[in-house]
Amino acid sequence: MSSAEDLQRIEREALAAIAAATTPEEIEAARVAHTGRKSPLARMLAGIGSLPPEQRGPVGKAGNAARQAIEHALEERTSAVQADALASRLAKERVDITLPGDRRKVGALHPIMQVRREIEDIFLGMGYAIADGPEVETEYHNFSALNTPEGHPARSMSDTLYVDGEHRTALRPQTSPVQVRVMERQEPPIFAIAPGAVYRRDDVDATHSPMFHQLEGLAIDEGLGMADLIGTLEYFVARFFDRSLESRLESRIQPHFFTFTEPSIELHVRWTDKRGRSTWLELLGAGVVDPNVIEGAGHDPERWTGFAFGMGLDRIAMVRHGVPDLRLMYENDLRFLEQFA
Amino acid sequence: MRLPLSWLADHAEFDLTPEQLADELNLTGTAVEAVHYQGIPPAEGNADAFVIGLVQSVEPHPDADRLRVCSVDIGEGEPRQIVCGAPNVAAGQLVPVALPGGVMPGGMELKKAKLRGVESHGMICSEVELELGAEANGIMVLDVDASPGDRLVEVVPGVSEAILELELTSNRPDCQSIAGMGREVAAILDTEFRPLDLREPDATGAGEVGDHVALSVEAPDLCPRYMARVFEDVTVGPSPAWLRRRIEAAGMRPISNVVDITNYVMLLCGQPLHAFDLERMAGAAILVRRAEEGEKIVTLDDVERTLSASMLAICDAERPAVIAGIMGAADVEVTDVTTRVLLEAANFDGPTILHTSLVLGLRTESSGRFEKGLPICLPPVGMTIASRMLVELCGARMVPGTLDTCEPIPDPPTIELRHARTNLLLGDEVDPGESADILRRLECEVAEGERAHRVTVPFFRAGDLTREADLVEEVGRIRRYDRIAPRLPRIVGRGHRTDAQQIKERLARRAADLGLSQAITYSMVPESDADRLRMADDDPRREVVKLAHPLSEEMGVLRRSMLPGLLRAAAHNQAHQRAYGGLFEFGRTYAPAAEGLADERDWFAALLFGQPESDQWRLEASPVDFFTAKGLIEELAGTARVSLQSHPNSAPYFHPARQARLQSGDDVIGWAGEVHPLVTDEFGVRGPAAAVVLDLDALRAASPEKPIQFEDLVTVPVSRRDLALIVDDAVPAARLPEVARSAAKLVRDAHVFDRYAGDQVPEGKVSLALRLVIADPGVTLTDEEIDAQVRAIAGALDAELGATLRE
Repeated sequence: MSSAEDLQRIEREALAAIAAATTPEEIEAARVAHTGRKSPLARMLAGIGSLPPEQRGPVGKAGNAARQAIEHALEERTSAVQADALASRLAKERVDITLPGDRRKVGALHPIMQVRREIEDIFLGMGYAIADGPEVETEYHNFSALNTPEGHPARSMSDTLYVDGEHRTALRPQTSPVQVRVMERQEPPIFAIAPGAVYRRDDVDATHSPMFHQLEGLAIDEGLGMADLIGTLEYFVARFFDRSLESRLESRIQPHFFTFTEPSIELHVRWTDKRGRSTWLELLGAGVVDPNVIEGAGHDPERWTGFAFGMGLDRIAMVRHGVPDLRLMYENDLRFLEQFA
Repeated sequence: MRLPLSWLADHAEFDLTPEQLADELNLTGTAVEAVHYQGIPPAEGNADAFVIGLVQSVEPHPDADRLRVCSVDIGEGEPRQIVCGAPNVAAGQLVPVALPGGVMPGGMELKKAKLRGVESHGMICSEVELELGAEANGIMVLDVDASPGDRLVEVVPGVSEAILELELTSNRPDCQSIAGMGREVAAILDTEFRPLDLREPDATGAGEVGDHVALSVEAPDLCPRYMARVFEDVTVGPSPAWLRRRIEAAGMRPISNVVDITNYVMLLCGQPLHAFDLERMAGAAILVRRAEEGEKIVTLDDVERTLSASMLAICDAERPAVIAGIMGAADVEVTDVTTRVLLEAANFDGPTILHTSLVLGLRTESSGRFEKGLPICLPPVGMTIASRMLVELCGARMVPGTLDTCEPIPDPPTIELRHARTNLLLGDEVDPGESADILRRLECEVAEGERAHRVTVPFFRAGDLTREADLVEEVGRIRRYDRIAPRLPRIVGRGHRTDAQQIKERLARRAADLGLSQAITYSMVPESDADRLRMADDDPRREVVKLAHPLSEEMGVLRRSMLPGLLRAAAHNQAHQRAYGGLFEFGRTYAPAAEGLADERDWFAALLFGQPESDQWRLEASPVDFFTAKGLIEELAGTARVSLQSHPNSAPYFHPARQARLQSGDDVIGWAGEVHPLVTDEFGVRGPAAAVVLDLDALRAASPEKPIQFEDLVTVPVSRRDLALIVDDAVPAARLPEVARSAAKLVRDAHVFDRYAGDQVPEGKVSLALRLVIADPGVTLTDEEIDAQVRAIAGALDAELGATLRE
């Protein structure tokens, strides 16, 4: 048998053994058996020296080629086996992907406060500041400065929660006194909203609460009138109900009466409830600030005009989220609150 | 107020459906709460299904004793056979007939029917079935000039009525009447107003009014006008059907013709009237005076009421006969046997009527009108109409003359309305001709001018239209606001949240992210909360702001602490299927202040209650204890870039050994602790509870204003070394990082990350693991430099705290 034939046989056997190896151990055994010092190939190459000189070159060349082929096969087989091993290990690591992921419980902001924040953001975008004031207020700021006449029912102790017997101070029955304080401490132009808790002497029931929340707005500048108020309210309605100005919720202005604005209006929106019933819903009260109010705060009503608006945050939250009973807003029941997370 | 449209039509022209009219009113300032229908429903063609029938014959039903078979002519040529169950049906009667296909009041559609085998081609109706009355004895027999087949709606007024339910604003007392609304409707629709008929009846009574009664007004400030007339030979009885129907449609109850006339005239023109039985007036005298303190009167509703000196009484020679403008006494009222009637038409001070009505808890149709302030010119209008009706409907003879005490009537005000001001306040160009036209429709006199109109206000609007802005409103609303092109003001304001407001936003968001939900609890709490919180008797927090007229003891004072509200909310949750949870709240506390207002402070407070259970298959629930609360307050303060140090604290409502006051340097920022078990018991909260409170003003003050400055810890290595130290159990753990920081200036972070006490360390000692992070921004430290820092730290820990490195 010629050396060339031997080499071919050796290479064939080696490659077959490598191909048959399925584990790193078997590959190692094949490597030792077919490329080690005692392997037929090593012995063959070691015997080159005893060959006739003219055969040494070709056999040596062929032997090296065989060695390279075997080593290449070993490398390939090693990475193939490793890849198989990894694949089979990963396959065994299969999980039920439908089991729940790790989630930390997230709490909810109160729906009234969510509504408050959204409305604040809309007016912040129009350049309004957020103002605050005391909740225990003077009779002057609660009523007189807002043009509420003596003897008006709102001033009675059956409507307002007074903190003293002489009725000089009371829990504010609306956020409007904040407007007065802003006008007192700031020169126009004024653009401010005042959200906060207000108090009335109402027993708790499905639509009443002795404490609830309002958001009041005030704009005083040169040249402001009803057109600016209507434009502002329309923009607000479009933004708050998440529609574009072009497809905004249908709304309409109904003239109304408030003591601190003249002319006064209400904004009604066409609202469709959960059951698909559509009604006109009073969203807020507003008006052109009464000249008495502006003058009372120390500004010239001939030069400065403006508008004010006020809305009940509790009611807006109830309508928007379909909450049927105001008491739910103040029970702080987690089964209720967590629905708004 | 209920506005029956068939009555309104007497005074204003309108060619609109009730819904259309309601829209027009809503858009011009008269709020329509609802549209009610009474009687024959207004469906298309329905009026044709209700006609006049002439009963031609009545035969017994072959199979039923109570039924009759009638032959009724309804103008069709052939009479119809109609079965009727009423005992009063008789030949020759004119009756209302409903035909098959007609929709009855209440919505039922009438069908051809067989009653006990006999066909009935319609139904003869009663007043109840037509919603014309509350009760009926059999069918309705009509006494009208009509022919069989005539449509009922044209013959019987009010048989198909639409009623608008109005919610009037307090500035429009002039609208509290049919005629007033007629004027308003005519003005907004620009149609004709049909004024009231003010013809006086002939005075055919004996003598002169002064011969019959003496009038004296002692309190003209509360009663600027009092008019009285006397009527003789009055026949008291039921009112005619049309009058009863109108009164009922307007929401009142018919009583007798005299009383009904006073109510009718009030509904018609807005002037409340009062009728007395003159025979029962002691001394035939009327005295209008302030009530005496404690004076008693038994009113019509059989309630004895005690008057006070701030109230006004109409008295006879002996006692109060009427609480002025509100309700009369039972024993001077007109009865069936009354023949001499004294009729009052007066003007009373609105606030006095309102006050009296509130104090007595007695509100009537009359007081509701007076309380808003009625014009002094109105009493003669009511007096004239009522006089004529008493003569025409009660056979009365009016005694000549009228008693009338009237304070001077002020001239109607004249107001300047500048065109520029109209345009400014409305934000629109208003044609002066249009504004003049609108004001004239409202019965103002307008002298038009180049620059301004001079406007004289009618007497019935004198209380409401007093200034230029009031006129601008009238022009604006009648002109319609939807004609104004909306625009937006210029933006000149700040438009962003203040630092304090931003901190609150971040706190809310972080608290919610940490699993807490936001609560809102009432600011009004029971005064006994101080006991529940175990406040000492001399604790200044027992000083509270009390409400003068609280709704209940449970809401008697303003809170001084945020905890009770949250604890009550926790108890509520535990009673409602939530054994554990977390709540937070932004709220105010109120302390009495030396002068006037309260000292109000804003807080963030949070409460973790109950032992949480994990509801996740891989995550453990963390316990609720002091360290949960401390971690929470530290994380929250971190949103304002404020780091806190714990100091011992001794609040009575916290666990005495598990509470801390958290400070930023010397400034107190908040508190954290486990709630005292006696306090949780007191509020009915089960299991552990831990609370944190943050002073929002203090937190904002401690929050750095400077933006965060970059330090180069990016291009240089940062070394971490952990030291295990044995220290005395009494050494506060926080001392270790403190000492480490002061011993080596390159310490970036130092904190205790493990603690062990037990067999491996000696009695009275504890093993604490201290993590050190050492780096020098921008400088790469050598191992030697780092080792030197660590050696310095270990030395200082040993020297200052006796802390030894554990082998």
